[in-house]
Order: sequence, then C-alpha cells, then structure tokens
Amino acid sequence: MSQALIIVGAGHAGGRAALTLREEGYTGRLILIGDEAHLPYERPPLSKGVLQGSIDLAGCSLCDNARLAALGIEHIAGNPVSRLDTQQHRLQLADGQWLTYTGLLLATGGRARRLPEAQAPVLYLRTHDEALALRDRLRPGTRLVVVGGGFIGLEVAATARGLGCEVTLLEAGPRLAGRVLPAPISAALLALHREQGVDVRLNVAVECIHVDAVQLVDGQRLPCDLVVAGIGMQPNIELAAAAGLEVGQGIRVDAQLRTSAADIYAAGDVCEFRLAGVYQRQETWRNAEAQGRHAALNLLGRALPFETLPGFWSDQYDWGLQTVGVMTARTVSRALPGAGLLLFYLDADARLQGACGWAPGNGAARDIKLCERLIAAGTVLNPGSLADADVSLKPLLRG
Amino acid sequence: MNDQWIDVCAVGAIDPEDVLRFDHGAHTYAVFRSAEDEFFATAGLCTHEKIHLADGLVMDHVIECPKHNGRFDYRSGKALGAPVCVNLKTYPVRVEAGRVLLAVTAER
Ligand SMILES: Cc1cc2nc3c(=O)[nH]c(=O)nc-3n(C[C@H](O)[C@H](O)[C@H](O)COP(=O)(O)OP(=O)(O)OC[C@H]3O[C@@H](n4cnc5c(N)ncnc54)[C@H](O)[C@@H]3O)c2cc1C
Ligand code: FES
Repeated sequence: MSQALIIVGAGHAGGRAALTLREEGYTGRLILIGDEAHLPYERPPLSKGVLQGSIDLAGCSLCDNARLAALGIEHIAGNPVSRLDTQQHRLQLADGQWLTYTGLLLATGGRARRLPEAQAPVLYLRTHDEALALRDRLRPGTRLVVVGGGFIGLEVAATARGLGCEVTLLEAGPRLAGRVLPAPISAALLALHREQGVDVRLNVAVECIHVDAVQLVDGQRLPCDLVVAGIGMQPNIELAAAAGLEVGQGIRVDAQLRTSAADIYAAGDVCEFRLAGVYQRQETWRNAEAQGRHAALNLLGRALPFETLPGFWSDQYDWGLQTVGVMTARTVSRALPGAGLLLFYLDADARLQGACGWAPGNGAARDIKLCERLIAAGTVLNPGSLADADVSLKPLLRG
Repeated sequence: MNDQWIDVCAVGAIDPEDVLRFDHGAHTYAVFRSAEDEFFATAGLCTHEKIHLADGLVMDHVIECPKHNGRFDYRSGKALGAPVCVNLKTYPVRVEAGRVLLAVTAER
C-alpha cells in the first residue's frame, strides 16, 4: 500500500503538523482535512484584532493556498470526517468517500460550550465565522452582556468596550479567570475592566436568557441587545470515542502523543496527556504549536517523548498577561514598570517552577522568557533578588 | 538608491546583548548591540504578527519575539523557524563619535 499520512482537523495544531511533515522531509501523500471552509488559522486574534477589524483571515492563517500547493499538501475543506475505522485504517468523509491512512493525526480541537439556560439566541466565539457574526453586532451603544469571566469573555468585553459597546460581564465564581490565574492578577484584571467601564459582577448565576434581557438567579433583570457566552470549550472527542479510542476529558495519549491505536496520534486542545503525572488538556496556542509539531515528528517514527512547559498569554485593552510553568504555594512578587506585576513560583529549594506577568503592552514578555530559561536551568534562586525590581534576571541565568 | 544616515542614540543607550526600538518617520526599527559590542539593525516588527521585537529577549545573536517566541538572527535577519518563516529586513549601522547611526534607503 502506498503511504498516506492524514491529519483530521485543519486548525492550528493540524496545520502546523502538516507544514512540519514537509519541512522534515516527508514526501509521501499528505492530506489535511477540515470541516471549516478556511485555510488553517490561529484563533487568538479572533477575540482581539479580528473582532476589532484590524486583522483579517489571511493575517491569522498559517500559510496560503500557494504554499500548500507548493508543498503538495492536499487540503480538503468544509468536509468533516464522520467515521473512523481503526481496524481497516481508513476514514470516511461527510460526502461519503473513504480514505486509507498509514498514519493519522487527530487534531479536532473543540467547540464553544453552550449555555443550557438560553431561550434566546446567544453568540459564541470559537471560529472565524463566529467572530465575524459577533463583529457585525458590536456597534457603539450596543448593550452587551458577556457570560463568563474567563479569557474569552474578558477579551470580548475589552474589545467590545473599544468599539463603544456598553458591557456587563457576569462571572459565577468569586474572581476573574480564577481557575488558572493567581489572586493578585485576577484582582488587577478586575480593576482594569472596571476602570474601563465594564460592569463586572462576580458570584452571579444566570437563570434564563430572554431576547431582550438576561435574568439572574437573584431576581435581577439585565436589559440588553446581545448576549455572548464564553463558558469554556467542549473538546471534539466524538469521532475518536466512536472509533473505540481511549478518551477521558480528551483523546488520551501516551508520552509520545500516541493514542490507544498504534498508528494514530492526537495533538492540540483535544489531546489529553500526562503533565507531571496528571492527565489534562492544554487549551493554548503554545500547546497547539508544540504538539502539532511534535506529533508530526513522531508520525515520521522519531518516537520522541513530549516534554513541555505550559504557557499562555492574553491581551486586554493595552495590557498583556503572560505565564509560563506551573503555580506553586511559594510566591515571590516584584513590580514591573507601569504598575505591572511579576509573580514567581518557587519550589521548596527555591528553584523556579513558574511565573506570571501582567504589564502594559508586552512589558512582561522579556522577564517571562528569562523565567522560562531559569526554570529549565533549575537554578537555585535568592527570593530577595527576585523581589527586587532593580535586579535584572539575565545575570541570574548566566550565574 | 541613496542611503541616508540617521542618528539613533548614544552608544551607551543600548546595553551589550540588548535591543532598542527606534521610530523614524513612518517606520520602526530594532537596533541591536551584541555582547561583542557590534551594532545591527532590523525592521522593528515581527514578520509573524507585526509585534515590536524590541520588547523581546536578546540572547547571543538571536532576538526572540515577545509574543510567540519566533526567533531571528538579528545580524542577517534570518527567521530561525516556526512560527516565523519570513526574514527581517536589515539595515546598515555604524558608530561615529560615540553615536549609533542607521542607514535607511531614502523614502518619500
Ligand atoms: C477566541 C479565542 C481566543 C484565544 N486566545 C488565545 C490566547 O490569547 N492565547 C493562547 O495561548 N490561546 C488562545 N486561544 C486558544 C488557542 O487558539 C487554541 O488552543 C488553539 O486554537 C488549539 O488548536 P487546535 O488545532 O487544537 O484546535 P483548533 O484550532 O480548534 O482546530 C481544530 C479544527 O478541527 C476541526 N474539526 C473538528 N472535528 C472535525 C472533523 N470530524 N473533521 C474535520 N475537521 C474537524 C475544527 O472545526 C477546527 O477547525 C484562543 C482561542 C479562541 C477560540
Ligand atoms: S508575532 Fe512574533 S512570533 Fe508571533
């Protein structure tokens, strides 16, 4: 049988894997299948530049048609894979055709979780088409209610303020992005959004969504023109589950990103892998980029273990958040220029495990990069030096 | 094409192994000083998403973009791998009487 590598899901991880396969010298048949009508693109601009109208689809695409053609990557768009037959090593597309693979990558990402309480239309944001639909509705004076104080909700709120909307943001928990951010950064986010005129309400639950208002459980009624929900992501695991692959909260993989079928790998938001011994998924650009690339190498038989430091960023108004590594109980903080904040997370021996920076623009980026290198180096650090904004991190790295 | 030399800053305004953002007219540049005290200049914006490179980290002869860690050799402008695949433009730099000068092609 002639060789064919197939990638299901033409998003960030899938697109990166396809490009990497060619860069690494794979010359056999290569098919990239997506259910969206578009070239593979990066999603972070959707809640920022795309919503603002400053970035178009081409500006977020991983490559253009000419590059795909030049690389001999067969891109099947707008045609979802509906069935996977792991015994026969083949899959079926929605239009009925079967394709046979010698190696397969599942990079099916996820979709926006839906609000169960909605009796009226609610907008969501995961895809470019959803971003355009939302952008159309964000007009000066539009009364917008954002349900969910996670990153997508917060970024939509920030962009909508910039477009002149009146924004109310509802968060069920006691603080913003509380699942992933340390308390001081959540507090800084809250202060910034309020300063920018967003009516942020914490500890509130939605009872019901009507055409012209959101009804809260405590009886309050918030009149509005538009409701957007950013309440998390539902991984697209159905195809894998129906095929009998092992799934948990995502498609389960081993240390090499291989699923329970020997010739099938998974990468990106849909991939559930072990990090520090615990099965989990990472819903980040950085992970899609790294796993897409890594799965491609292993599809070529490299058998490399996937090792990673997690990390992500978020941009709101003209502030930027960046994190790397993991949070621990031992925290040291230092001030950054412009009222920013950098938090260091140490282990018991004062080795750096993670860091989280919040500053105007990309003001935290350089320190976060140095933190990433300090984590990798495993250097024992002096907490006093870390707390001192006048001590540059670079010399600490060079020791 | 005639080059036009513009004054950027005093030599001491950029630390060794560091970078400075320099805006001139409608253009923005990144001006580098290597650990060996040589000066270089590239276009100021990353070729991935037009982010100012000067907020990034300089290590050896590489500038790492603040946003997605795209890496360039600032001496040649060469993009060193995904997510960046388009090289940076580079510009001649020279030091004269303690000042850093940058040559830009005369533009109207
Ligand atoms: C609005 C928004 C803002 C974000 N901002 C940031 C940020 O600032 N920083 C950050 O780190 N991360 C951010 N992220 C997260 C980041 O974009 C994701 O982690 C990343 O896109 C995951 O890539 P992926 O390839 O795994 O999934 P996706 O990019 O979702 O790609 C999966 C693709 O597979 C397709 N697919 C699914 N099932 C099938 C099927 N059966 N057949 C064919 N195709 C299928 C899907 O339609 C989709 O096109 C953001 C995400 C969103 C939505
Ligand atoms: S903007 Fe520079 S790597 Fe993305």
